[in-house]
Amino acid sequence: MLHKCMFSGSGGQGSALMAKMVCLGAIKENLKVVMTQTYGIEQRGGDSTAYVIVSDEPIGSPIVENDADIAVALSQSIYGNCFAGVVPDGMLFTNSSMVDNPKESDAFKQVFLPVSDTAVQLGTVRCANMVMLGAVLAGTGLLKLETVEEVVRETIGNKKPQLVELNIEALRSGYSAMKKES
Amino acid sequence: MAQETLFLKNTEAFAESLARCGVKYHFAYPITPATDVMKRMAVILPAYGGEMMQMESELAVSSALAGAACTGKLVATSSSGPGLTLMHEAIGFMCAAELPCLLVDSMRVGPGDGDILGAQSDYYVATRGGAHGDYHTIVLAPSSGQEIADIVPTGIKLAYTYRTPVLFVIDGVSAQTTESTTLPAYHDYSAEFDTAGWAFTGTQDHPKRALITGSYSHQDGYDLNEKLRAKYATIREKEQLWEQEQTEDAEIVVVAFGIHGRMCRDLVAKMRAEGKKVGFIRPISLWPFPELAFAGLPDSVKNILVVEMNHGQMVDDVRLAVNGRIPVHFLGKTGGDMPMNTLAEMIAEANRILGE
Repeated sequence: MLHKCMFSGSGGQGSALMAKMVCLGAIKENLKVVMTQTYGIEQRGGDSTAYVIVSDEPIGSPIVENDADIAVALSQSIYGNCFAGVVPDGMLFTNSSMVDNPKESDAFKQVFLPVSDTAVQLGTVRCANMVMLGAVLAGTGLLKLETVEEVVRETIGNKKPQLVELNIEALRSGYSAMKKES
Repeated sequence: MAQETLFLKNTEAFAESLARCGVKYHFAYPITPATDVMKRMAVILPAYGGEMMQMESELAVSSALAGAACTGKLVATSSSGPGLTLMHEAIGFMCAAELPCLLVDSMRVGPGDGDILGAQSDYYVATRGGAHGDYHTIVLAPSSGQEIADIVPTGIKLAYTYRTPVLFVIDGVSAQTTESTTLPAYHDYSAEFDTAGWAFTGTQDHPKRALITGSYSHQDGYDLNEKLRAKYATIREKEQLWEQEQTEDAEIVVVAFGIHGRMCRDLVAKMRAEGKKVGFIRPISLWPFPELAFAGLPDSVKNILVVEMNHGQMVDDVRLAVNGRIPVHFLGKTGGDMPMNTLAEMIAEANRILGE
């Protein structure tokens, strides 16, 4: 089993946190994992991408080179990069609340979910990343939903216990929205 | 601390491994992309009975390192190219005074202050040395978080067995990579070595001793250099480390250390799946350079491709190791948004050479 993922958005949307949740979940499922991030003089609002490789064997190259089989675009400005970074038969998950005029692809599957709108309905736009992560889990089987819920309880529960239920609700709502879609 | 698997930046994996293997004093000055080593050391070392001390400059760091190393305690520092450059006076001194210590260089683009992006630009300064005199520093180049955890004990044993500084080098891209790493339980490897014969621990039980003086009489200088020459010859003979795969029938061998070496595993798997006879050698000790790996290459090898995150530094050692027997090609890049050649570019270059 080998998955190469890219989680992209504007700085502050939480794409890196999505990646970190996947990594911690993968370790719980006894998988190997490597994460790299765009690195430089970034600021809130700038494009941000976190790359994750998950495998049941030791990982060779840690770099995702436009060969992701799971990609997420949370914002308009990064959508083009994500579109160019997916392999044939891969999946691109796009936040349709923020991306207008998406491109068409025959080579890979595209999923459009209004995760920012869903997040607002749940209470805050800031949990859009967790809605999307739930959808990714449902659409790809990357990790078990319960594993990631456990990670949310442990990591967010440590610092901000009042936000645990909101984030779990966000995960579950993305998960069931994607299950309906497919 | 018990053995545990953590999700860590590789800079943090260095800090955890150093602390768990017995480092008590860590001196450092902040510099990207190495600062996370000292930051984590500051947090974790007190639990091991040690301390991280931020000095006012790299000159102060290296002097503190040399001073503390005189006591026989396991001491370490972490920096990047511009900082390492400043430390060379003390590194040369420690080699002459035969003082064990550990240095971590998280390499970035040079020359000068360069760029904060990762590179392998310090191969020359690490293996040739930036100080004067006939000295060598043992240089180890791990390529992943797990290898960092696995190789730190080796580095400590080498530092104390040969009483010499040991330098770990890692490119800044790998240094900033976060991955799952199984860290060892606490064990002070330096405690396995008897330092009573040379360490400065006060003169209660022995007369005054001097590890080194500022100058030598003619014969003393000759004797010191001959002693060092013999030591370096032993290290060259016994301590070469490398990983090698599928070279038995290879027509082309790709040679790379650190992150490019790690990428070679994927390169060989992909090209072998297409029927291409390719193997790789990944030097782990950069000094001593693993010449033995090249001496053992079969006649089937018609070309060698060296890949580095610089404009060609280790390639010199590969050429010396094969001594004209096999043509040596080079692919390298430094700086830019993607400061290295991709796996696709490495494969394309290997295919181009195979097709010539």
